[in-house]
Amino acid sequence: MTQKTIKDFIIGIYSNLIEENINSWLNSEEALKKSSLSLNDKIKLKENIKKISKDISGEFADELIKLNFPEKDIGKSKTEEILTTLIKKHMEKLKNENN
Amino acid sequence: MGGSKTYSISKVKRGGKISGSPGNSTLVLNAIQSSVQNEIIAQSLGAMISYATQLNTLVYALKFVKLAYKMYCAGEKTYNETGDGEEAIKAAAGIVVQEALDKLKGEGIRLAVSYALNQEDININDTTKTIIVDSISGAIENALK
Repeated sequence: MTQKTIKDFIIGIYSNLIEENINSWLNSEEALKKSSLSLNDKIKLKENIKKISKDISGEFADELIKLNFPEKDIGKSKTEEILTTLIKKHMEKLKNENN
Repeated sequence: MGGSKTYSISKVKRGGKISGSPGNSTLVLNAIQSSVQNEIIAQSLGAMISYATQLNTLVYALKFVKLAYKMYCAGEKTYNETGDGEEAIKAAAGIVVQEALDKLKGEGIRLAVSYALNQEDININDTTKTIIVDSISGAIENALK
């Protein structure tokens, strides 16, 4: 058993949650079917989703630790603010890469 | 007449004709592929912050990160003392709920997290609950492996 830090824990939990959220949106929108991606493209997409979920979670963990989590509780609105900012940042980054 | 009418990136790569050298066409197609992927992920991230339910899943989960970490620390301490993985799982589950001690290995953590979530008076739908329970239980189980 390797010793885990609170950062490992936040990343472990949140990368899963973000990945699940993205996947459930993709399924509900049937975006994958509509875009007629091949199996290979879908695999690549899954890898990219995994990577971005981990990146966002890592940055989220850093922000929380800066605020002294877990010693200090982080309120709902602050949590929402940090997450929204990070998600928006990554969304804009992806859009800019396309231009 | 007949045949597939969809044009996936891979199909174009295999059979499509693009002017210029083959190397250039691969570069162009890779760029298209990458931008399609980026667009899909960007849209899903946009949806995540637009729909309250999705964002709430992430917000509520933080309440349980602390609990999950406490569970892991208890499990790790017991593992270091006994060298027994089963005992470590029981100790982790025992942080939250006594009944979980009698349950099977994986189920114990899941039940404990689920119990903790139900104790909180949070109004969330079943799917959100399942996602939170699965993610937190998974993280604790993986950490205790």
